[in-house]
Amino acid sequence: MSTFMTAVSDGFPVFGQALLNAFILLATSCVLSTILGALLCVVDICAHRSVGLLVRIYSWLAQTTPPLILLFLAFYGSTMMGRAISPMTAAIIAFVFFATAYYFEIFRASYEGVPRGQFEAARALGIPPLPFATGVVVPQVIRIAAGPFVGRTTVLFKETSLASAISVSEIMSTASAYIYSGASPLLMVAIAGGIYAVINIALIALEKQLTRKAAAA
Amino acid sequence: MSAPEIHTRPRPRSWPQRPDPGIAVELRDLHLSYGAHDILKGIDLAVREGTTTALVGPSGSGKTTLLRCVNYLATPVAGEVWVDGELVGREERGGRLYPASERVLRGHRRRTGMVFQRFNLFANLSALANVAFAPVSAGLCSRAEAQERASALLARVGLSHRENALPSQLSGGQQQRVAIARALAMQPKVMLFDEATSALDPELSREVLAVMQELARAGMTMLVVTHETGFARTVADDIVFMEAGRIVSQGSPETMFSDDAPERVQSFFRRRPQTDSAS
Amino acid sequence: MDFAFLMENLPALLRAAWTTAWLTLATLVLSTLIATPLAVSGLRRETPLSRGLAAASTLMRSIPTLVILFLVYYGLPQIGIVLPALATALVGLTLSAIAYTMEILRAGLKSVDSGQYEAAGALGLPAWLIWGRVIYPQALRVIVPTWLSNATLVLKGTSVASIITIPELTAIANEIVSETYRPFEILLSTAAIYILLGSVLALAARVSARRWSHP
Ligand SMILES: Nc1ncnc2c1ncn2[C@@H]1O[C@H](COP(=O)(O)OP(=O)(O)O)[C@@H](O)[C@H]1O
Ligand SMILES: [Mg+2]
Repeated sequence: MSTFMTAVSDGFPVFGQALLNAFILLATSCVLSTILGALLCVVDICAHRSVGLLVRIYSWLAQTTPPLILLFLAFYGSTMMGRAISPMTAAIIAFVFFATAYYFEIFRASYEGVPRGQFEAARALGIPPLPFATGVVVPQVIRIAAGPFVGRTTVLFKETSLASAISVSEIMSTASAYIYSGASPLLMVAIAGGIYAVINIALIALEKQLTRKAAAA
Repeated sequence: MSAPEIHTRPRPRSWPQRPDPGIAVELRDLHLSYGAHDILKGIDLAVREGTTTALVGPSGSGKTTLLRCVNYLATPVAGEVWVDGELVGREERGGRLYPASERVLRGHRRRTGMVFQRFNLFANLSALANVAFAPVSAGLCSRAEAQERASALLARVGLSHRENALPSQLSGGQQQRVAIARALAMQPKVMLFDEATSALDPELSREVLAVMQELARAGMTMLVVTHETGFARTVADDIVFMEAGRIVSQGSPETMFSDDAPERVQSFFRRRPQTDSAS
Repeated sequence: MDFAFLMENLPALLRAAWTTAWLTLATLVLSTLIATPLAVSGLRRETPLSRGLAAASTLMRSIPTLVILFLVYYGLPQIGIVLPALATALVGLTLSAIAYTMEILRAGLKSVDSGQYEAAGALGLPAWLIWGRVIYPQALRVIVPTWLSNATLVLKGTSVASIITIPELTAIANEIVSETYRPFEILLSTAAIYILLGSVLALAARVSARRWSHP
């Protein structure tokens, strides 16, 4: 029991820092990937088919390569380039690389989910493309995408645990550090798991609610 | 405007001739094919201003395609479409006619309003916003003005009380009436209806047909694809019968529903139940 | 790229890829076998068991695979179960896959008209026969394509086992990198092997989507 108490009292400030790091990694890559994913989606919809094909090939590669491999590539890449980049930055680069593909796929599928009849109606009414896109298409895409977006973000949050492999001090690496210094392994892993669970269970509930709302509309 | 000013300058012999005044829609030798399939095989049709023409015929005969040619949602491979004295889908530059740019085409399309079988309302917008959206985004009037007009149009189709409802909160009949108001908001010269009631049960059909009938009475020019024989008989001024991409017969309701009508037309109407019109 | 260098290390990578392929396959088979009866629970009506399963599924989907692997790795010995490393990884990966597989199966089962169940029930068939012979076969149309696209995720997920030093593809790649310090050749070839394996699954998904969407 005493080890438990010390682990808790010593552990939580450090886990707090770890959680903050994980959150920075998650938030930065989530925001950047959302912007890039949305841009790719616009490119895929508007540009020539051959460009669309390139986008799809990128998306396939980024989603099929394990995040760990991408993390290692970014990590070694950063050390190779004379001016060393921090592991955190390397992790963000790797995360943006694959998360952009995640979000691109969600936006693309959501766009396909907007009923086609509305496009024909807009053409028949002579509505210019830009107001139609911003006033009708985008709001519906957001509504359809909201649930899957949050769902994907929970996956992304779980994947931040892998950044420990390139020595970003996030939740799992903090747990490992405690284990090396003699804390109960099971306890430390359980604390780490608990942190992920609390946050992700809330996100999964949000996902469910957003999906239900989109289905009702 | 983009219509050729055909009387001011000498033209090549083949320069298209403007339809007679009083003709709201004129189709001349219209052809359309998808790949190797000829869908429209030479359509000639004139709709006089202020009249209603019912377009009937077996499914697959090309009625929807014909309607979509009138506003160039489908591009004919040959022939001319005239709406309100303007050649649709072409623009003149340096004395020659070219396929119209998207921007010019948008202007052409605003002269026709189209109502679809599946309503196609903008799902994220309220009834009022659906009606006001097109005029504002096309820059035709201010938002306040558009909303005021939209409000009046919704009143006209009997939906003043549902202005703020989303499409998903409306019945099919109500949605279709909003769609009619939405098309009217662009102040079209001609209204096109593509089986506007065939997704609705009879009860809801009637409220939509009543609105259509009121429009016809108010002098709107209408081209109506319909399976409602009652409507065709009582509201239409002309009935056009299509089969396999051609107009095979046309005439007033009296002749088309009489024993003098071609056997093919008679048997077609015989197989359909005589539905009520709105009256 | 240095071709000779690659050729020298390719055999080791391919051997490791074999471990990855098998780990993927074993995880898929095990998690599907376990999820198949579990997915049925609560579809007809909610029970305490089904509510418990739903909560467990949410919990499992909220925890990273790495955490689950560590829990198994440290936890099993504590309750007196000592497994070889590969088996430990298999248990962990399977646990993290069950919840997703269950959701996929449930989505498929829900797509089957509920009248089918009543009709079969009226014939007096026992429940396991109704699910196994009537409902599941009809649900396959929806299940197979999503199951296969999820298989790609399972394939990716096996790389996490490298962190508990299972000699699969990612771990071996890492090992070679730390010996030779030629990260890019090795990591890019490793990525290519994963993509090749993933392409096989994607191809299967595409073929099955075409096949199963027109029964
Ligand atoms: N986009 C398209 N591509 C290929 N064929 C089409 C397309 N649209 C319609 N058709 C074909 O054109 C024919 C006429 O269709 P349509 O105008 O919808 O007939 P109707 O409205 O009279 O039922 C049908 O045989 C249909 O299959
Ligand atoms: Mg039609």
